[in-house]
Amino acid sequence: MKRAITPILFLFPAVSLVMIFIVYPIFYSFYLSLHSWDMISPNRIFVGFKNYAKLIRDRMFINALKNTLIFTIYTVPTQIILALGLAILLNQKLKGISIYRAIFFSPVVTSIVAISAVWMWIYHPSLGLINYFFRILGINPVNWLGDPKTALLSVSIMSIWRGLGRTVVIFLAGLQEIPKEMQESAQIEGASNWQIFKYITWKLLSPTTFFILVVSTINAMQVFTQIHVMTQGGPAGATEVIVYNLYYRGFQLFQMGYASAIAYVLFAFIISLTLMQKYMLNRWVFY
Amino acid sequence: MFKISLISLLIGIFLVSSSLSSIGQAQSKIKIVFWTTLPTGGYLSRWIKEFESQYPNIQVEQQFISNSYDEMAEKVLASIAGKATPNVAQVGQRHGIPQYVDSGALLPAGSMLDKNDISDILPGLWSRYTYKGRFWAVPFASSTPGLWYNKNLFRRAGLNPNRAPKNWEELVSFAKRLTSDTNGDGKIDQWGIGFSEDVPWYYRPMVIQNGGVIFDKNTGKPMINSKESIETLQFFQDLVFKYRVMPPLQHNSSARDFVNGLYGMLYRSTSVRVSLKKEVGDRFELGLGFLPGKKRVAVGVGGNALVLFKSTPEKEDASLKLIKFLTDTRRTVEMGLETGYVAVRKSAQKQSEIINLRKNDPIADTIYKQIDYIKDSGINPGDALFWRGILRGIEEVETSPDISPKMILDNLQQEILEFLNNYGRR
Repeated sequence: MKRAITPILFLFPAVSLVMIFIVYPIFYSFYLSLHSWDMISPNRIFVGFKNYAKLIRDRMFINALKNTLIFTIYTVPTQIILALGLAILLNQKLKGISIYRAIFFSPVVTSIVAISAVWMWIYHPSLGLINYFFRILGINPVNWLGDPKTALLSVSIMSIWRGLGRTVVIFLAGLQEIPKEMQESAQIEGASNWQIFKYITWKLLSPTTFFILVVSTINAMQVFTQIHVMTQGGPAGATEVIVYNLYYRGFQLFQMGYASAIAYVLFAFIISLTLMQKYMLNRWVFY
Repeated sequence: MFKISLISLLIGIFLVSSSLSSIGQAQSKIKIVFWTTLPTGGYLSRWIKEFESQYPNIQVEQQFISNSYDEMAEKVLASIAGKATPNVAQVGQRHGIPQYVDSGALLPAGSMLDKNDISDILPGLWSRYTYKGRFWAVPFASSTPGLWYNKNLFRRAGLNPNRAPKNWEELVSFAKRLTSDTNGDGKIDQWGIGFSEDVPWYYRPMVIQNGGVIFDKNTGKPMINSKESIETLQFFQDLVFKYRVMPPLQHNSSARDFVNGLYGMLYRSTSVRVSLKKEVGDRFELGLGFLPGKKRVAVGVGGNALVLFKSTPEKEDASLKLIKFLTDTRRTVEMGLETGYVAVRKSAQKQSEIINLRKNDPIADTIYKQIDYIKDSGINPGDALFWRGILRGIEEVETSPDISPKMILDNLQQEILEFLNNYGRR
């Protein structure tokens, strides 16, 4: 008897926190998504799946969905390619290599709000650093965050820069897992560097790459903070993403049921994307 | 054995600490919680201390929530949902108050003031803080929009530096003369007119200047796609594409660029009176004019107000005392002197300090002359949608001359109507 209770007691604090702050809200938010509720009035009106039906016709939401997908396409592949290149460079035995690694990792530990504020200066149309160099080179200055054509791209560039360090570190870990003997023996057999990379490193790195692909896709689909700080979804809705739309519905218009429905649709998108990635790349990943 | 003693120790600590805190509560002081958008340590904290020394049995706990009105609105909402509201909160007028009212958490603090106080505060402010026939907030730090201009550029363009444009037509003709390519590279680098990032706040009075309203005064029905409103949105498009006096999509940087002399005129809050003068320094001479009128002169109201939450009778009473204290004539005068906000009481404007301020500072004088023209639509549950929709609409019409302002406003009207219909269903 005592033996059965002791582990439960030990688990209780952690499990109860997870239950209260994660499991319960998950179910509660689904329950809410079937209601029309403004969070403060006592009665919730049951509307069934009407919130979901409304989403299909909601131009703002469709636009947000489109922008989120574009943001994901902009950031995920670029980040993987850049990070892999950097990780290979940083995987060498150089003097002070750990300093370089720290430099590339530093944006990850910096507050995203602070980073966004700094990048708003960099992107500033008349005083910004980028346009300053553009002017020196005789290129027309660009209204980075102010123009609907470039705003999402600008936020994406900043997001790639910010997330690069984390991806590099994971790639580095993956690279160091690869047994040196394999690369060495290939070298002895006369393989070129490119062949070693293509047939050994890239193949053995595939579980890492797959992991990064999945995780960064999930993160990109949930982008919020930099949008909230830098553009608030503007100009003209060009950077409105799903989570920002959710925030606007829930916390500015107080449409909690509708916002919960958005959260569930986002969840459905993410999980189907992840399953798709797993299904399509299963044979490619080399465990 | 050890286990039991440990548990009893914990229970003991718990009991002692809870009894200690109940001793604290047993003291006769009434404690009220005040949520603010002003950080602790400034003039507001000083006034709270003065209040506490005047009412020794009331203790005020100032909690700085955020300097963003949006964040404050979220926190207040969450506190209502969680039944843990403060007693008094400093909230922005932009959106949210009607929702708190309809949740039943608020008392109509404005209507609870003495008759003399109500008539002492400018009626234009009450026109904004009215909902369902009552005044739900007491104006605290109030500001108005104004038309700032660069007198040096006015002189260079051959305009009278002491005369701001009086109406939209003059605005355009002045702006045309101020717009120029100063370095001769074929690109315009000095613009006639700009609007700061809170464009919907200037859009509101512009519709009213044009003879329209935002929400119907009696029914609260949105009038977003009225002829007057469409003409206003069209005006923004024309400033960019027809008259070519405003650069498109520059609202986030226009305030800074104005300081750097790249704009002749700028719509911006007059609450920056003190700070803008410092920022501009001796780069150029700063001027301020009324918002240009059209069919009539009208100006909106911004800033924040104090709301009072239901609690126990004695706390409500203490909270109302605090609100009255913070908005009395003395405090209103100090607010008008120390900050860029306007002293919104008639009695405050009669005080020698404010009269002197107006005498010595022509910009302050213009601000005080303009507040008599405050005219605004009452707060409405659809305010947040209006704000965002107009912000987006203005950005859209500035993107292309082919986008129809009517279509944008028809959609927005539809969206707000739908929202209000659902809102009314509770």
